[in-house]
Order: sequence, then structure tokens, then C-alpha cells
Amino acid sequence: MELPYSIVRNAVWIFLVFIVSSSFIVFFSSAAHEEYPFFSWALFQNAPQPVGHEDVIRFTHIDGRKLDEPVYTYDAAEVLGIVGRNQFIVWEQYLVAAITHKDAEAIRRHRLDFEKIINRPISYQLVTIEYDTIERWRTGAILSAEVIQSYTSGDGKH
Amino acid sequence: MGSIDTYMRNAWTRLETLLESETVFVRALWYVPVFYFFMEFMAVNQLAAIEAAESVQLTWSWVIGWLWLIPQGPENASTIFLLMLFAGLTLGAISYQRRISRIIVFLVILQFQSFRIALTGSEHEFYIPLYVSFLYIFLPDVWRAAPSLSTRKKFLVLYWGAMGYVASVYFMSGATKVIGAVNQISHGMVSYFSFDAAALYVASILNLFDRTSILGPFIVDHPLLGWCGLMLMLYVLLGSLWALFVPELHRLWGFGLVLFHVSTLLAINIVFYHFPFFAALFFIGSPFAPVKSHWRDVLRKLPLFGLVISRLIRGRDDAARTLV
Repeated sequence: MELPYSIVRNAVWIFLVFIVSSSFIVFFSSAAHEEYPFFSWALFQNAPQPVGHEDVIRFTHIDGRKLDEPVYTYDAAEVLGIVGRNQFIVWEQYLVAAITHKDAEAIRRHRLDFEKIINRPISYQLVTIEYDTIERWRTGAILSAEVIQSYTSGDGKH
Repeated sequence: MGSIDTYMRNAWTRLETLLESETVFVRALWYVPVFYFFMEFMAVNQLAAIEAAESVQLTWSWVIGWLWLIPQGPENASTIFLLMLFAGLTLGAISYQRRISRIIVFLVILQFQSFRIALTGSEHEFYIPLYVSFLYIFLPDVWRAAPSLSTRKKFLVLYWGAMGYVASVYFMSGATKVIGAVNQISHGMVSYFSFDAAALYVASILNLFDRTSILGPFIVDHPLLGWCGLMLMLYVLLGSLWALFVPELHRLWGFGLVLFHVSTLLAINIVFYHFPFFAALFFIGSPFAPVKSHWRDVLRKLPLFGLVISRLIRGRDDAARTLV
């Protein structure tokens, strides 16, 4: 049975109104702005501030050797022999979120994932850094770093 | 409010006239297989990403919950979903004319997108294919015999709906940035409307991903120029839904959206390969866009500025007529 044109047209209109409305609902109701199969398309919706804070992981030991200075994940491409932080940033962010939310099960799971991705014996710390956004980009300088938690790969202890 | 309502009603009436055009129908007809062929290309593109993530645990999701019911399902998820994606999208590329194939394409994308989200937590590239393939399920059978006027109109209104989904994606991206800006302004923070926003934005993203970019240093050194670009970007994003109703703007908006992706690449070195394709397919290649249009007609129809430009052009024409 063929549907009349007017029904198809109205259905398309309802579909579009539904899509835009659901995007707004997901934006205001979900922390991740996503409830599959709905997404708000909120990408980088907040402007960065002149002085920023970031929870980030830094390595203190790699392959059992203590590093002269802790190496932040965003500077770790050379010491880890990888292309860049984008290779593991998603898993790093999960782990950071789990630690900051003090979710023991999520920490265990995301530590395993993170350590699998790095795939070398490591000791690492979660630190909160404070930085001048422009200056950090120009010179890499940060204003301060506060250690939140320390881990060693494979020890399974928090 | 009333004038906007009248404007939109008039715009829709003009669009509905275009739905009756055989030329528009023939043009749109060719874009449907292009979409399904591109899906095949997207399937190939997924190979590397899945291999890199093979060892990582999956998060349970209701869409792919069946995976946990089969022995070693989650462990072999990459292989299962990759095979499913290839088989489904190849079927779509070969026999997109059949509704059953289009249903399978939609289901495969629904599953694959869910798998990617379960893997990485966030995945956006398959949303446009997901919803376009959903709408295409309902396309009437226009490939076997000469379709009637009513069938052609149904086909075209569904095609326009797919364009509408693409437009809504960009509109929402702009709208959430404006909401974010209003929220930040109310807290006395720097927002997208601050003059140094573009420089901070570029520096922050490049810091986050440990990257550099072609235009990054220039934008950081010339924040005001960067801000102008940012405002233009917001204008294009927010104007997408408006442009959807104005065929004269389709091509211009398509170029604007592609330019938005190019500027994203040049400024913050983030590449979205698939989105510019959909912007080009649905807007630059819009079957509803007039074959020839005068720049004045295009400018007159711009969101917000169209009215002012229209008056300026009319004023200039009146002055020229008075001189003659």
C-alpha cells in the first residue's frame, strides 16, 4: 500500500522537529551530551579560559627506569616511541575521570586499558596542572602541578 | 515572529513547488547511490581504528547487548562488527534499490556506531549515515518504472529530510556553542564572544592533542582576526537550518560548511573526512539549488543580513533609476 504524499511530508517534518528537540534534551540532561542514538553535537562548546586547569597523567618510570623529570602524556611521544598523545588520549581521559570520581571499579578497568595501550612497564601519576593557556602552547610551561594519585603498571593496587 | 512565520511558510511553498520538478527528481535520484557507495568507503576507513583498539574492553550497550550472549563475543567484537559492516554496506552499494538492503544498511550502521561508542565512549562520524540511511528506508521504489508525480514528491521530500538532518547537525553544533557562551558570560568567564576566544581555543586544543597546525601560530598572534573567523563560523553553523529552506542558499551554505571543516583542519589540526563529503553531497550538490542564480538573489536571502542587504540593493537601484 502506497502512503499518500501528505503523510510522508508530515512524517519528515515530525522527524526533523524530533531530532532537533532530542538534541536539545540530551544537551541539557546528559553530562556526556550523548544518549545513543541521540547526540547534542556539543563539541568544544565552552571557550577555554586564559588560566586553565587540566587533570593529566605523567610518567615517572618507564621500563623500570626512573626518569630525570616526570614526563606528561602530551610530551611523551618520544620517550614512549609513539606518534602522539592522540593514540591513547581517550583511555587516558577515562582513567582520569574514574580517578577524579573515585570509582574503584572504573579505575581498575580503565587502568588495565590504559596500561595495555601503553604496553610497557610504567609508573605514573594523576596530577592537576595549572597553566597560562597561551604560554603553555608557546613554551610548554605550566604554573603548578599537584599529585592526586600514583600507580605502577601491573600492581593492581590503588 | 509573525514575519518569520510568513517567510518560512512562503519558503516551504516554494520548496513544495520544486518537489514537483522532474529535473530536481532526476538530479536527486543520482545522489542516493552516491551515498551508499560512500558508505562502502567509510567501512574501509574503519579498519585501522578497530585494529588499534582491539585489546580494550567494551562497555555494555543495549543496542549490542546480544554480543554478550554469544561465547567469546566481546573478545571477538572487532572481527564480528567489521564483517557485519562490510557485508551490510556492500549489500547496500550493490542493491540500494531494494528496501530490504536499505533496512540492513541502517541496522548495520546502528550496530556499528553503538560498538564504536562502547569501545571509545564517544563516536560521531556515523550519526549522519545512521539517520540518512533511516530516512532512505522509506524511499519509494522509483528505480523500476517511471514514477508518478506523487511518488516523485515523496522521494524528494525524504531526500530533503536527509538534507534537514545534516543541517540540524551543524545548527546544533552552533546552538550549543551559543548556549555555552551565554552560560560563561553569566559566570563572568571568557566566552566564544570574547575577542581572544579564537586564540585561546586554538592554543587549548593544540595543547590537548599535543599538535601544531598551519594557521595556529597566526591566530594566536592575531586574536582579533581569529575572532572574526570564529564569528563567521558560528554564523554558518547557526544559519544551516535557515539555509535548508532557501534553495538559493544551498550551494553557498555547502561551501561555507566545507570551509568550516577546512578552517578546523588549518587552525586546530582536527580532520573530519566524512562530514565535508556530506556537506558537499547534500548542499553543494543540492538538487533543489537553482542551476543559475544571481549573487544579489543569494545575498538577499542570507539569514539576518538578507533584509538589510535587500534594502541596500533596492536603495542603490532606486538611486540609479533616479539618475537615469
